[in-house]
Amino acid sequence: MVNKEDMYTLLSSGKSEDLKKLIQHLLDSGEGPERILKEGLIPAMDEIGVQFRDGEIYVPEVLIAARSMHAGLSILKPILSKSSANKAAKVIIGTVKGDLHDIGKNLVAMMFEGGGFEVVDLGIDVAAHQFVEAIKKHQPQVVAMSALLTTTMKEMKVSIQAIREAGFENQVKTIVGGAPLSEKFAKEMGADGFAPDAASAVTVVRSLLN
Amino acid sequence: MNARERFLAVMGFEEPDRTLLWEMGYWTETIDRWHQEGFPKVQNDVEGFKPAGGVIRGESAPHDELSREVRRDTEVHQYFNFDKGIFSLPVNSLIHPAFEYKVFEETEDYIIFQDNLGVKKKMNKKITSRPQFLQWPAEDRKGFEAIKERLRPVLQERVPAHWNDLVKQYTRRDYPLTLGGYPCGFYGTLRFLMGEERLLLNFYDDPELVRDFMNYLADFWIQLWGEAISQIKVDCVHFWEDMSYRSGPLISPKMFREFMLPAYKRVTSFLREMGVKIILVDTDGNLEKLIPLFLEAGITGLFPFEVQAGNDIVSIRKRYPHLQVIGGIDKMEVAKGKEAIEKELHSKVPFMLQSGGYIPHIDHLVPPEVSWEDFITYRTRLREMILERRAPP
Repeated sequence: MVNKEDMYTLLSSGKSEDLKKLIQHLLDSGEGPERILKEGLIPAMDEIGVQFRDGEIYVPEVLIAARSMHAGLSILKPILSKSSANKAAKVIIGTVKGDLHDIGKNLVAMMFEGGGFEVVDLGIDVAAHQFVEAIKKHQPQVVAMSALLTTTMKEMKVSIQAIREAGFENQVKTIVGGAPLSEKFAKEMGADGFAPDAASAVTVVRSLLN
Repeated sequence: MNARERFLAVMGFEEPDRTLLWEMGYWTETIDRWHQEGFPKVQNDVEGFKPAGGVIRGESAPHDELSREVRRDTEVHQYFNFDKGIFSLPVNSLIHPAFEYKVFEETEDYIIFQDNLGVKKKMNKKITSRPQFLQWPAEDRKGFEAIKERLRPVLQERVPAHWNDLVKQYTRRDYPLTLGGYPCGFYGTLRFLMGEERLLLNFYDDPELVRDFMNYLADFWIQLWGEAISQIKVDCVHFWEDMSYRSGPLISPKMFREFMLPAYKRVTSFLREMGVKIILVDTDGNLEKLIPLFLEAGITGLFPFEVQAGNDIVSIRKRYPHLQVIGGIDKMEVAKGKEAIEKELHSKVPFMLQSGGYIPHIDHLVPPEVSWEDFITYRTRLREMILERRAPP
């Protein structure tokens, strides 16, 4: 039987191999992969996200949990991909042009993955036209942009504008985050959402998609 | 009073004639913008010179006068008649001998190279930014053991040939002198040599390695700096950590206490025994949870005090009245013009000057969003406030 608490215990302690064994055991016992994901792994990772957002845990704890989540997904994904039902929403993520910081963006990508999203990570130093090309190629529901510097955050506006001009305004939601940003600045840039931290990014995107 | 006397008096919460007229520094793009807006090109610090990271140091940023990669501002300094800046004793406090500088790949847009610390980096050539780190020299125990060969606390190997002349020169100084600084710090240095994500994971994957590395650095700095300070007394020591993001520290207070605190305490106790009373840390991001830990660790002040992550300088001063503060003026408010500048300065500077231990300036490097006109407005008003607080002769 899928138990969120068991999953949480293994995720929060970073026990990747034990988590993989548990997932395999559940599959062997006849549990469906979708149920394991939606009633076990995702709520457990959500709990990690809430604790991170509330300052109860810190980046090392999120990293070891995300690494375990990734290990767990490596068993589930091949099985899930065979089923066309309930495809996960897709998020494209990248640090904007001129900015080479990746740890914040990586954390958000991990939280999205833990939240059940399919993540396409474009990396760092991503120019506006690269976001547009990636939308054409991957057909995402969300584009997430990160910037750490005051000198590069204005590049987000350029990218949002490019996405609009390419005609994707109604197809994708844009969300921005990063150390120098505020909700006010995000609105001024025309972003659909602003995430003050990595954990909130998942909540904000779920809310935008609903 | 000269700059050194003022620095010591301000940081000692005494009543100097006034606090220091200092800035931390500028992005080169900022200086370029100001030149286009009327800032006279008397002695151009930027033209024909692109310093490492696109940074021109101001007075409060420790400057090693032998440094060739980063220049100290002279233009803004002279225009506003700032006080002499702080200098850093030219003691190599990290990797020696340096790793060979190697270029792995170079295009019109970027360059991938190994720097002198042995870190493989990718640097954007077209836009001023920080580099991306690709590979580190001490990611595991083997790397740590190997890098110990480059962390030997032998002073004479780590100072310039004319060290004895410098010692004589520094003894007669009228400006503050420091040791350490970027990238010396227990979290900061490990991040540089191990890689940030690897370090964060190693707190769980290999905690003994993290502990051993920090303890090794503590011993290294105690021996190296001890020998240096026995030859020339410094006014302060700088650590660099940058270990917070917008919501708080990257690691838990419990982890700080377990791993960093013992190492910090050993070094700061030793420094105090050597007569160093001012020990500053540079750590950007939200500081709320870290300040009490840094104070327990023996840190006496924050440089620069960054506002961007929601740090409230007045509130922090009220809670930690003996914490020295340098910086704290919100650069984004200065960029908004006269009204915002007045509000920003008025809400902070008089209270902070009144309570002492404060050197006001923009909370980090002055960004290119700040116009020359707004910078003049801000510096002029700040000078008035500083002079209004002048102690009676």
